[in-house]
Amino acid sequence: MPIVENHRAKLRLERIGMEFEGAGARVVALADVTMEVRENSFVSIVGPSGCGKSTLFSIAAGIIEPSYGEVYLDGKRVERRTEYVSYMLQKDLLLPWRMILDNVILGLEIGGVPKREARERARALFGRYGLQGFENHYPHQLSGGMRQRAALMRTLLLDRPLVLLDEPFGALDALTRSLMQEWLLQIWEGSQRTVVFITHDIEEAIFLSDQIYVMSARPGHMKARVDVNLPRPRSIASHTDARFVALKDHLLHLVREESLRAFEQQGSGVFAGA
Amino acid sequence: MATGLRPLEVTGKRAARSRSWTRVPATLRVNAWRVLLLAVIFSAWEAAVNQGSISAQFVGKPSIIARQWVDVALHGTLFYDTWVTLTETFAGFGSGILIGAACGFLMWWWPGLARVLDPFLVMLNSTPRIALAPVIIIVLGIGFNSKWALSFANVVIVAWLTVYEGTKVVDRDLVTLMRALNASRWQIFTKIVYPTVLPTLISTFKICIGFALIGAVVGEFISAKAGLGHFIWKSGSIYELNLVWAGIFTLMIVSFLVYLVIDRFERALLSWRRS
Ligand SMILES: Nc1ncnc2c1ncn2[C@@H]1O[C@H](COP(=O)(O)OP(=O)(O)OP(=O)(O)O)[C@@H](O)[C@H]1O
Ligand SMILES: [Mg+2]
Repeated sequence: MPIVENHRAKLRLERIGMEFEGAGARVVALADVTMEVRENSFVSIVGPSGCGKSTLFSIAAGIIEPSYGEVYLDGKRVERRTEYVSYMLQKDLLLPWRMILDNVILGLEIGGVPKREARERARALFGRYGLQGFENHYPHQLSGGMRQRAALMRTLLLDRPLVLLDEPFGALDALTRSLMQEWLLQIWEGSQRTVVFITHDIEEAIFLSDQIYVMSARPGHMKARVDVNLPRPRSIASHTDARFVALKDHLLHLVREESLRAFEQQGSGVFAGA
Repeated sequence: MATGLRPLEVTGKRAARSRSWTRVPATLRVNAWRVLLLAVIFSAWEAAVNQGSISAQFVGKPSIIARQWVDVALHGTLFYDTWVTLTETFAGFGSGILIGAACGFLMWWWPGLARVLDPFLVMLNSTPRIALAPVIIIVLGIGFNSKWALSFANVVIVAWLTVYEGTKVVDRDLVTLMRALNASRWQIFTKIVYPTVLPTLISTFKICIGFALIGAVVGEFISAKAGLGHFIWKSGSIYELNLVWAGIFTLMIVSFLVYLVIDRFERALLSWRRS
């Protein structure tokens, strides 16, 4: 890889490996994962369930330490949590005892921003996140899509240059989902942020991304990198673009192969256990 | 938010069949049944004594109980005894909850401490704390302190275990989220662990206040100068069965009222949980 490109890489993962030890069994979740995310780009990761995508994010965010390998942010090696990454976990994880307004400011609060100021900053954004009027509601009073937007707002309010989103729309219905995708692109295009996005949905990955990494079945590594050369801004019409359809076909093949392997792994696991 | 929505009015045949009784508000109806139930029990009791199948001497008689109850309330020590028992109970309850919760949280903070203390806690929990009564009374005397201590001993272990078990089931993902947000251990405690465990702790308040009352009353039974337990024990020792009943009924009413207060308190604190 040319050295010049390293400097422009917001995030670089270098031969990351992760092994879990638990209940006598050893799980190799990740083996030699190498990837690179350019500044201000939108990169997706797709791969079969259990291949280690969430684990990879935890490592990139510095929450867990990899068994081996290195994480670089802006070309600098990092070994612990930084004020650099904001990470949205697979679940919305809103605190049930806090109203939405106080939920979204959680990150700011932890960062030492006075509650009052944090609330003011957040209030101004409720309209953009389609949550106007729900500031003083509790999470259980919101729909799935709204909760997800609230969780996104909490993540993005932190104003950190690198954003990791782990299946943020995984639990939503198809219609809400496609609306949320367009909405996310709008938010992203209006900000100077680098986004890494995990999804199981290939169309979602194509629609949103500049690049897509396909992960293999466990032990996870990067099987392919696909560039998405669709013009921006994108819209519903992008889905019928010939390039979109061709990409989808290509990616489906890649992912299906790995999903089958992952499935067989699980199957043999079941038989071995019986 | 769904104001304005009401179940459809009952129409047609069913409305025609509804008697005036069912139009009385439900709570009122239930209360009427309750009063009726009490009236039946006490009339039957009264009648059985009058008729001679139960001895007024050994079992008591409602009309005499009522007269003597009013008498001890107006001229005797009943109110003072109630007050004594209540202060012992609430002192034991409050201090037990506070200290127990603090210990439970400390065990979350230092997992090593938890590992060391675990078997002792199990032992303390499975031993009836009332067994401590003789020791406590000898050490702390027959006054307020020994009742408080017994009441405290009853509550503290429950609160301690509840809080400790509560910290174990804190959502791991929430903790991961906090770490992703760069939170310190103290922040994880104040923003996640404490609010998660609090409702669990509060939901044991009703049990704990009962335990606190048991501690106080048992202490008074064993040796005391005042209190409802003392009142009942003293009346029993001189075979004043009617006074014993007056004491028991007072105790029942007091514990019920205390329960109501705690229940209200609990509901107010847990209001966010209601959907
Ligand atoms: N803390 C842990 N201890 C032991 N094993 C773990 C741990 N975390 C993850 N694993 C294992 O590592 C593997 C990868 O898990 P991970 O959650 O990263 O998968 P994923 O790709 O995000 O899956 P999904 O698409 O279903 O979310 C799984 O087999 C999982 O069981
Ligand atoms: Mg995952």
